[in-house]
Amino acid sequence: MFFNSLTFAIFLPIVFFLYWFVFNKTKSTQNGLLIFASYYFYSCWDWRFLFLLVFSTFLDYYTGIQIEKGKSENSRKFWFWLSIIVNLGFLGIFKYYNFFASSFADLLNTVGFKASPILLKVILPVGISFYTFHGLSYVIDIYYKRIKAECNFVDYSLFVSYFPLLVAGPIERATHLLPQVKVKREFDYEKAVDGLRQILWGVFKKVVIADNCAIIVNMVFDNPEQYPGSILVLGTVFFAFQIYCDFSGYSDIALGVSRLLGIELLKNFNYPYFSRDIAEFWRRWHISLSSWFRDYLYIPLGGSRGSIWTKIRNVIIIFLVSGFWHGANWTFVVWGFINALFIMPSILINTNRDNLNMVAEGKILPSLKEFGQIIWTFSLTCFAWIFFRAKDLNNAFCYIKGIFSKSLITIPKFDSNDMSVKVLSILLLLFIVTEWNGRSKNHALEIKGSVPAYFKMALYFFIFMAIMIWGVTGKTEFIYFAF
Amino acid sequence: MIKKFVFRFSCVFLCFFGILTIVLLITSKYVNDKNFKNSQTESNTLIIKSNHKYDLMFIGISHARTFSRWGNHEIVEKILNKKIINIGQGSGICGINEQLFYLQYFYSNGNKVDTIALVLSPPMLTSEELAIASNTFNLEVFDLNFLYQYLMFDSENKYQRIIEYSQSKLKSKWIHLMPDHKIGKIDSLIKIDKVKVDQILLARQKNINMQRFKKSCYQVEKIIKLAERNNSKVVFMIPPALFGKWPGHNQTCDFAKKMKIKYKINFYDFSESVFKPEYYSDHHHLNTKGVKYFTNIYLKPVI
Repeated sequence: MFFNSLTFAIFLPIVFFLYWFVFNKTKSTQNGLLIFASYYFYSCWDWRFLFLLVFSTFLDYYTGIQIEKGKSENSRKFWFWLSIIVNLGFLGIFKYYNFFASSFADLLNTVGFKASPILLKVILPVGISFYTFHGLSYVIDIYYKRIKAECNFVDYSLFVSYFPLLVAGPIERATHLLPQVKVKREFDYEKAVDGLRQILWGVFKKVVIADNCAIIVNMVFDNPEQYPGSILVLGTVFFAFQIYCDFSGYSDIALGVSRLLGIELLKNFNYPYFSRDIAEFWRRWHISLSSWFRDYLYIPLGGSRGSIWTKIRNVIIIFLVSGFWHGANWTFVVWGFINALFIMPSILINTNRDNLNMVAEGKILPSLKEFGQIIWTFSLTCFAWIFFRAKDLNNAFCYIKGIFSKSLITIPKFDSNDMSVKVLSILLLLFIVTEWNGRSKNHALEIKGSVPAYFKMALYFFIFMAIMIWGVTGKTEFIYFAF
Repeated sequence: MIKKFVFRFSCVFLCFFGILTIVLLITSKYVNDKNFKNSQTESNTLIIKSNHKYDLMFIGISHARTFSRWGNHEIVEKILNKKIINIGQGSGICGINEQLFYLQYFYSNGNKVDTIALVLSPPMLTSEELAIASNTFNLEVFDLNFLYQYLMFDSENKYQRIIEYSQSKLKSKWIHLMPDHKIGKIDSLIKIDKVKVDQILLARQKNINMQRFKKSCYQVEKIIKLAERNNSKVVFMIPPALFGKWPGHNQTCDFAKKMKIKYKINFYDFSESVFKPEYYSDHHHLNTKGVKYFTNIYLKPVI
């Protein structure tokens, strides 16, 4: 069940009605309904993987309690490592086994041995990377005594399987979400209205911007050798907007849906393309994952303390792991490595925390310097995205070779029939202006202060009609479902 | 507060959808007022009116539509001396089930037809893509009666089709739709391109889905029953192709023969009737010359 499907458009009002009108008596009834709805939501993908989700939930719930109860350090360590190994084991088998097996076989073949790998014919359970990380952070926090183990299984299950974040995040922390599910939720009118706005904006980003960019991106990336450098550059820019609007659109819908149900989720994107350097970009892109890696990997490794070599090692490790988290393919590893190279200078000379505030705060336009920094950062990001999007390394190198050719200085001409590139460019421009205008808010459509009702209605209607006219309505998956 | 929220949201929701519906109706009326003829459009709702009587109807995919495209409609009407309506749908957008729906819609508008020529192209019965194509109604007028009937109709991929149906009415392609005044399909093949024929047949062979075939047969039977209830006679015909038989031909013939006995309908296999390339615009679509020839020689004696 996709967020951008008719099924979800029916599912959500039913859950909303039952949640606030039928099961609204106590916290337990509210949680019970949300768990049922979440399991139903998940089983719509593939009901067989529901057992995996339930098992993973039960494992972390039980080991969490055992770690807390453990009288000796050895006992605590045993339950802790049991949880870590089983969680990562599942992730390893479903997501990485085939990659490692075939890479190892390739290596053996290269050095002269004949090897054919035994590959598993399994599909990746949707959301496994996300709910595994939920569970891991919970168990790690208990082990380090940052939180108490949750004794109520229903509450804990909801923390792991809450449907708005189940399949593509944001990756929540127990410290943030658990306290909210442990109390009865009261309806908040303002929050609910803002949630609807955020959903509307998320749907617009996904079906109008991301899915239309995807048509051009797929065309260009599938056969890069057929296009001049200028079109390849545009293809990369369109992909940058595709992936941003796809994933942040999903996050907006998830956050909006959750606000309708009275639960606040972590903000996942904070206008990353307005960043002035790569470090700032990574503080604003997929925040829940970046902060997860920062807290559970980078800081335990020593972070930016220690010798230069330690810093370099830590930065490379965290970006390689982050790349690998996105998928079992060398392209993601290279993407991570390139980002590590981009961010390295600022870490080494301690300028990585120079731009903590939002660009041009309180101003309408950025300064020329800031504008230049934004364009430079965006260009670097786009370059790295080539590896993220390419189907393999050859495809990526062929693409880059195509860009840096004589044909770079030609007028790009598209022959895509689905939607005029001109119309898409205008919509993209409107989108950037809206995001720029809303960059100090939680989401671009958030309305602060008193705004005339007719203006709001006109704005909503314009977005609604844009979705109706230009929205791609076929079954288009969100990119991050594959991770 | 929650009641206020639900009330306000419902009002906005209804208001937006109300405006949208009005826009869809206006754009549809604008296009409908251009008065399309059967030979000038691939749309069915633009030509299905109310309380009309016809002598002959063509149903099928592109091989049926060929009898009307490019001004062929008037030519065939003249040769057969019959008033004809063609609701066949080409361009790979419509399977047999939606053909059944079009027929149902035709009757529901008080129309009558004496004979239905069901052009049984084997790919129509065996292809999965045609059955689930979501752009089936992109050229149809937005009409609440049509929409309601389709909502009640049993079909696969129904909701996606409805979404695209509504969405298509907001596109400039729809608003700028004009009657196609082109008369005559004159380009013809010079010789059979063996490589191309092999490609067509191989692709078709790969796409044969017997489960789909069974479903399609069931839907064809529904068409016969619907026609019977409305006093229309059904005639089956397998259309000619330059390469003769399509993959799935034998199964289609077997099924047609069964129907012939069960419902006492006429069945004609014309697959190997026309072998001159000059009568074709490609390897399985007759051009205007071919339509004239085929109608005169093969269709006229049996319809």
